Amino acid sequence: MKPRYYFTRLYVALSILVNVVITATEPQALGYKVLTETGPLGWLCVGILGCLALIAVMDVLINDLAPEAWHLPTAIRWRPITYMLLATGIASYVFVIIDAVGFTWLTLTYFLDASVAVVVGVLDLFYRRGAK
Amino acid sequence: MNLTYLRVCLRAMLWLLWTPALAVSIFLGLSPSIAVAGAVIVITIDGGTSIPLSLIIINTFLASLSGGTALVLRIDKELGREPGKRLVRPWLFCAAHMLGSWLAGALAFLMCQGTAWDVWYRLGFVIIASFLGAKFIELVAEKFTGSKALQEKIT
Repeated sequence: MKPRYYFTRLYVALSILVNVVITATEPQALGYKVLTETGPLGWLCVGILGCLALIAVMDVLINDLAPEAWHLPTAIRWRPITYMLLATGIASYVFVIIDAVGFTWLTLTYFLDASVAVVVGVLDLFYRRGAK
Repeated sequence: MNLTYLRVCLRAMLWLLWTPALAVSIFLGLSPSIAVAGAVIVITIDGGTSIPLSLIIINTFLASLSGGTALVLRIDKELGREPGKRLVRPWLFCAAHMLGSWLAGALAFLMCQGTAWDVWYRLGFVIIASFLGAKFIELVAEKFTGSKALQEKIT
């Protein structure tokens, strides 16, 4: 799992970031429509989720791809929590969408991202502790 | 380092987290027949409130995520402080967190149904309540069973 493990994290973080960008910029997107209907607080939550996704992407770039001298131990220590929060944030989309328009198959994408983010976060904790 | 109990603990957590996902899968598998019935179950609160089944499932999923976050924080803290430690009865340890979050999440969700709160406030309330529910159970377990009873050093 170790050598190419960061690919999984990078994919999850980028997938969530892309979802946030689509939600914020594409008027035809379901998320955009729901956010427009539910008021300004939703945009704040989407902004926070985007920041978290950016942190996760930067974590991969700095701690996995950059030279070791540039590593940020704080980001590594908080990595499982970052991914758990990412999962919670993306699952929040589903809650809001279902509340606004009812169940739709489009929410499966969010479920998938949230589930993989949880697995990545827990596996990272396991890997980090198990590596000692 | 003997990580047997950590592995059991994380496995239990993963299993518990996937339980709502399994429920979603079953729901999706049954969706054609459920859709005919309206995909709505009725819980009688103040004379009757209709709650979509899918909303209950995602609420459970969110509560699981909050409880899982509390559990990950706790495990990380324990092992970061003293890597040699292991958790006694990890299934109980995980189940306490997850059940605490589910209970708090369900109560918060039902409370919110009777209010006219904005969906984002309801969402935040459920997430925070689930997290605090898991933390509360953790504190209660610490108080009544003691940390020494919950943990042992590796033999």
